[in-house]
Amino acid sequence: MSVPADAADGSNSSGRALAEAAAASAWIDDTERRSNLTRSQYLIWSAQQLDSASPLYNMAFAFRIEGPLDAARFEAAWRSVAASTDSVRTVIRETDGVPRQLLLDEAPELLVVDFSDDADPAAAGAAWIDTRRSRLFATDRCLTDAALLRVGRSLWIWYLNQHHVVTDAASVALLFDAVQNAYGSGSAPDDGGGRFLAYVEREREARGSDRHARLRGHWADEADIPLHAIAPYGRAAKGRGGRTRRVRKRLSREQTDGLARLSDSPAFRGISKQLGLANVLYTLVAAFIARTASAGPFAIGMPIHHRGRRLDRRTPGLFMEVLPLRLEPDTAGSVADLGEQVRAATMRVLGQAAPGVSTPGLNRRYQVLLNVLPMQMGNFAGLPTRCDWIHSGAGDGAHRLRIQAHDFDGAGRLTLDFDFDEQVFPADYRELAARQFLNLVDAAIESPGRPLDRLDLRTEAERDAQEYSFNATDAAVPGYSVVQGIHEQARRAPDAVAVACGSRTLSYGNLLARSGELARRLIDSGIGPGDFVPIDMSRDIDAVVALLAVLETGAAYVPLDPAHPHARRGRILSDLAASASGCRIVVTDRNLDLAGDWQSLDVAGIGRADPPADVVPEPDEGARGNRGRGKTPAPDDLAYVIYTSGSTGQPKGTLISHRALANYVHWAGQHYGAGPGISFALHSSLAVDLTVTSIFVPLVFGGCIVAYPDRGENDVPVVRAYAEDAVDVLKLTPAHLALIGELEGRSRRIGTLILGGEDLKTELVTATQSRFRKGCRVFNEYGPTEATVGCMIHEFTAKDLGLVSVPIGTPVWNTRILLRDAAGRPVPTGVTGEISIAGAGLACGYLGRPELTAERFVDGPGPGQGRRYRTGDRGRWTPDGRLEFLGRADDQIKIRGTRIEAGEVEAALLEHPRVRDVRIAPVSGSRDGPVRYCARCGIESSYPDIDFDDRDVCTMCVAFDVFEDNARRYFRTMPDFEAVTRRMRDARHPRYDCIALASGGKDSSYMLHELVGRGLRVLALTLDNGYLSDEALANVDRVCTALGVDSEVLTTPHMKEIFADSLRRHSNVCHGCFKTIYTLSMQRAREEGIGFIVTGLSRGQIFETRLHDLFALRIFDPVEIEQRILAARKVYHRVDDAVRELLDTRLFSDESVFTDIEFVDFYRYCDVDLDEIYHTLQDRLPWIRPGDTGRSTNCRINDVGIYVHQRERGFHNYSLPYSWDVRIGHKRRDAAMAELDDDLDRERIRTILSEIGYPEPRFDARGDSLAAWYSADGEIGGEELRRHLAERLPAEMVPSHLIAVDHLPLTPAGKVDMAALPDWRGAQAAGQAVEPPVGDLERQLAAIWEDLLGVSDPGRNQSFFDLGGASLAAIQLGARIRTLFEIEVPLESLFSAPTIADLAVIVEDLVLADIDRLTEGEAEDLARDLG
Amino acid sequence: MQMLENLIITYINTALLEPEDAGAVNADTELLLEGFVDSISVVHLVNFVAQELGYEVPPEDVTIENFGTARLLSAYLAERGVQAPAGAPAA
Repeated sequence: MSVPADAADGSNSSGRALAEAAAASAWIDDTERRSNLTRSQYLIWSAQQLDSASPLYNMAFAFRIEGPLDAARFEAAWRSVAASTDSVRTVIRETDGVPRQLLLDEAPELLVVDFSDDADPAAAGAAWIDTRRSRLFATDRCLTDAALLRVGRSLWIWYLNQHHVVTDAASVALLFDAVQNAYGSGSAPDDGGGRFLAYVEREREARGSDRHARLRGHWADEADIPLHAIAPYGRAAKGRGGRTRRVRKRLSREQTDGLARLSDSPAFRGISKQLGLANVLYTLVAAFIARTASAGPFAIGMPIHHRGRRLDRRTPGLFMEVLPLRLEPDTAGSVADLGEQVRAATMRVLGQAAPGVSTPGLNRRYQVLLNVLPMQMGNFAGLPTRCDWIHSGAGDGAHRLRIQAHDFDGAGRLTLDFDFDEQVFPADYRELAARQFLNLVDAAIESPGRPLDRLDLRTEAERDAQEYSFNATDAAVPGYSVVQGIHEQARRAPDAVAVACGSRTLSYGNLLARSGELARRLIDSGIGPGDFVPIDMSRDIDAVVALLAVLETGAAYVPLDPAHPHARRGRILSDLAASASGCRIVVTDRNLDLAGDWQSLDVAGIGRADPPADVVPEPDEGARGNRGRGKTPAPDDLAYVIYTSGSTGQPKGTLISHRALANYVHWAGQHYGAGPGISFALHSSLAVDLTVTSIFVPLVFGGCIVAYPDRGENDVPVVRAYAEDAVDVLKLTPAHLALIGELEGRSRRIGTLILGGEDLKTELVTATQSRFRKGCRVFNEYGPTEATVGCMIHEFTAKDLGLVSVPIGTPVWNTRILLRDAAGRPVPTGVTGEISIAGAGLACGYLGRPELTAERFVDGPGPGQGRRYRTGDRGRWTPDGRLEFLGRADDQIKIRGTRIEAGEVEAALLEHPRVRDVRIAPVSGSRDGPVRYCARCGIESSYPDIDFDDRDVCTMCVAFDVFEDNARRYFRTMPDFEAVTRRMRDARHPRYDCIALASGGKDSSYMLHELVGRGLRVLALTLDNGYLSDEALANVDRVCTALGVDSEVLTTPHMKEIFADSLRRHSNVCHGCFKTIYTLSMQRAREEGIGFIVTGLSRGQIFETRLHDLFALRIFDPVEIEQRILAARKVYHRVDDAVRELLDTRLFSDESVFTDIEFVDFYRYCDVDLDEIYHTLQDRLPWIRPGDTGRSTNCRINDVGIYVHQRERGFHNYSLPYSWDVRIGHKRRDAAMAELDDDLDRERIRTILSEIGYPEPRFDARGDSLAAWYSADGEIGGEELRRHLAERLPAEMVPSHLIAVDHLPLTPAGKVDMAALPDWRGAQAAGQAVEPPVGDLERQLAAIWEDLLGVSDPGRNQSFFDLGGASLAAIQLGARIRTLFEIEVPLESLFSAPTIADLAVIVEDLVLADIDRLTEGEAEDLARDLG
Repeated sequence: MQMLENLIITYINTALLEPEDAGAVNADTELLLEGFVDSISVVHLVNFVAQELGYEVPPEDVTIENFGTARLLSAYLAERGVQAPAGAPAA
């Protein structure tokens, strides 16, 4: 925001206000202004407050001195230096939360410890240091810790630790020298150094200068430039880290010299050698980030030493300040090119640097920091000395990686200390990262002109392993044709059962007899090699006959799914017709209505009579000249064509040859142990290549197929296959396995499970283990249709338990798996690339699609690199040599194992005459696959926006570790409650001291007991919401009678509507209920003149409802929290919802009601656990746990809320408060998780839902589903649209969520802006059109809304509260408007005008009113600023 | 070139040095080696040259050869046709 020029006469009220604002921005906040710290100190101080239990700012050094050191002399030297150095005697004391540094008279003593008598003095010394370095400073007493350790007769360690707030690396070097000089000269150091506190004053005064204001303005603009966050190896840890581990690498002399040469070269040279080296190192760090972590612009933290004045160069203390160095590497350029960019960037930063310009906002712009430290400590008083900078084990949680480069001992070898955030870099990635960085160093020294993306960061061992060893899969395939294989089995054992279905069986002999006859019929009709024969049959014995028959004619079969809609079959047939001129016959088992010149051939009745057993017919070789080659096709003859979803709406056919099919089948049979007597289940769609395994593998190896045809719409064949337990091998998708997991019993026969189709989660395997017999082997088979069924294999073992997904393993026979970047080059280990497949299993291409085929089936870069198929799947090599699957990179979606091209679904929607534009995307209400649980608090992984670290601890627990001390300040103790009790009594109410909200549940009953125990006169209020358990009401009655407490039951006839509204807005019932009871009880309180309402909210609920958001904003001050809660309460009661509409809420229009009546959360003061509550209730009160309420202890509608929330939002609405209960120690994790494991009575829930008039949620948000955003001419009914889609798409492809929008937002590049689409959860019904904001002002407001609500593209007529805005967000809205437009919008207005359109009118009015008071020139400026 | 040199020396003496060092710099003073000027103040000098003398020194020319002394700097600039603006103070 620019500052308008002063008006000529200098009298300029708004100008002055703005100038004051600019001057005010010299300080981050009032606290800084009132303190006497520099900016750098203040930022460190504040960060330390947030992580008060962390030693992250301990700067500890150990100087190892060899030789005859005079300890007494050393002590004297230390004392004299300490006495004359400000920074050593500085401490920081806080008054009213304002930190001020002051100089103590006494200097910190030097601790002298003698370990030389120890058994192992060196170890003892090391252990002492190891403990001491993490010791927290008592910052009000001492910020310097110095010790002299004797660890040998002539071996000493000088340990020096100072809090970073008073030191930096240069300061340490100065102290080292000062003590050395004092030791050597025997006298106090001369006062050539400056006083640190004098510098501090200078730094603060300089903020008032114009120049400083100008620089701040520059950095404010810089802070607006968007950057990408750095995600090393694709990991983006959520939440703050803080635990760091150091990996130290020492460069060789050659490497160090190489870097020195580089820093002198034209691309890197700076004004000094130091700057040149810094440029080189920044370049290397930037190159490293570009190759492993980030695309797009990012910033690296660049420390500025600020010791410009010669005096400052001699002054110990904290001068250093970090500013962001913004870079945008081009990986097509070379190291030298990047170097020039870096040099220009460092010069820019230096040109704008001045002490005091760094801010928290600037600090947030970088996650990687590089510290180049040129100082050398040298020998102490001529004695050989080694200097070690000791890592505190902790770091700034926002930094993923800090690199320090130094050579303190002047050895001519640069040391690189990599400090990794543990959460972001697991152990093996730390070593990997350091190693790759060194590879980069070598590559840069050797060829600085080579493009960055051509530098191979792998070691030779890695290259060998990834390209060669992994792919050494050559194997001889016996025979090229499955037909040949099947004939051989028939010859060997013609009576063995080949296919069974129910009680019917078909022997090998009869199978061939029938297929032979069908083949002859087909050949007679003109079918032969080069033809395609669609098969549209039920999954029964005859289908197998048909497949084999087609193969025997030499043609390729094309399996269709009878369950798919008519239109889809039509598309496939026309695709075939367009590409192949042969005959048009569809083999089927029923009456098919075919268009075009397709004819159906019904197999019913063909060859049903069993031929004599000793006749095994050969296919008639001579029947049509060289046709009928079926038994010995050429390897490149096609075996089948399987159609998969096409991105343009037209499904595409993948052509698989006999060679490819034989390669897979023979490999699979060997690998899975197929053979005579081994049965495979055929239970899923023939149109998907999953079934190829279960058809050809048993037949080629002499086993048996057991077929499970579909029995109707709700039939799930895999369940039958499992239950009948008549097979040995079951091939299925993870979704199928999950279904089996829901069943009872245990299979005794199934010995092999083959999982394929989508990512297999480890937890699913372990969860379903008990459904199968011991020793049942589980395989994960990865492979796209384009690589013939499966191309990689992994057998699940106990070693996989630590992983989230079961690995995809290693390639099958004659197959090579390659990981490549977009340009076809190998990627560094740990970095994501695209999985490509080469080898015998590759499809020939797509039928009739030469461009698509050329796009996906490419030749490797470079000649002779072979043909490979680009899967579009992302993967990466882990440091321990495993290829990890990471999911899709593009529009292809997998929903429950079904491969879906978004384009096909979009095309189907666009066929509707009124649909204009559409975009499809998969959505998950929660994580896909089975849910994991936090190891500490038990919260489920499906809870939004949380992540788990390597130890399976959730981000909330990790964050809580950090701010726990602060958080607990809000909570009080019972003695504090005494003060509240006193205030209640002092009100001297004639009848009651307070109202207590009694629900009949355990928490409020216990509370009543305690209140009465303190002698309070209580009026107990209970809300009968219509679903209160009778037993709960009885409890209230009994407990109140027993305690002698008056009790009233409040009701309202509007409860059902309030519940329905609460479900609509929040997917829960508690919100409506709580609000009602707050409203009604405040009315009672007002009526009776009672000033206190005591609630029984548990601590977990207090955390959830009141504190969670505030802690996320780092607000811990109890006073501020109370103020914000009060403000939020006012907003809460003014939201325009059903409660406000239906109940009498007039009393809230007078704000004094909020201060007259105080809400007291009893459990804020009382810290008692679940067991204690239950004991008291059992022993002291006639309280009986209601049996009619499900999980709640008082309410029957609670379960309804849980059910709806689960289905609509994908997670349990009690997850958050229960996790808090565990975190604060009120519940044990297993108890909390058990409580969340609900047994919901769906019938009862459905009944209640229809009573209150809320529709049962249609889809379960826990699974993956498909959402479609579309724009249309006019409204289209949801049912109509669904019907339209069902006619065109298989059921699994129809989107679950249809969201109508006015238009699809586009990015500047012309693609649909996915981030700008409205939340699929917001608009449930189709046909809800959203009107976009109009004009600059509305758009600015909309931007704030998007930010606060996390909702994209809010409509100008949508209510802030309807879109999820809650009380706290409303307050923030007011604050943002205040900052942006400098006007105060009263809270009242936010409620009467909660839409963007209305709010814009109010803002404009206020601004215009302001302008009326300005002069003309100022008005112009202001108008221009507002746009 | 003399005027150019004087201009540079004056700027350094008045704008870049600490109060206690003001006036200590002449044409041949080793600015960097003697610590009168560091990497940050060099950038200010570059900005000064850009603003007052209208010449943008490319980053690769910001080296000790060109910026080591006031004399070296004015030689560098003169080679590139930079002149002191009219009205600049004489020696």
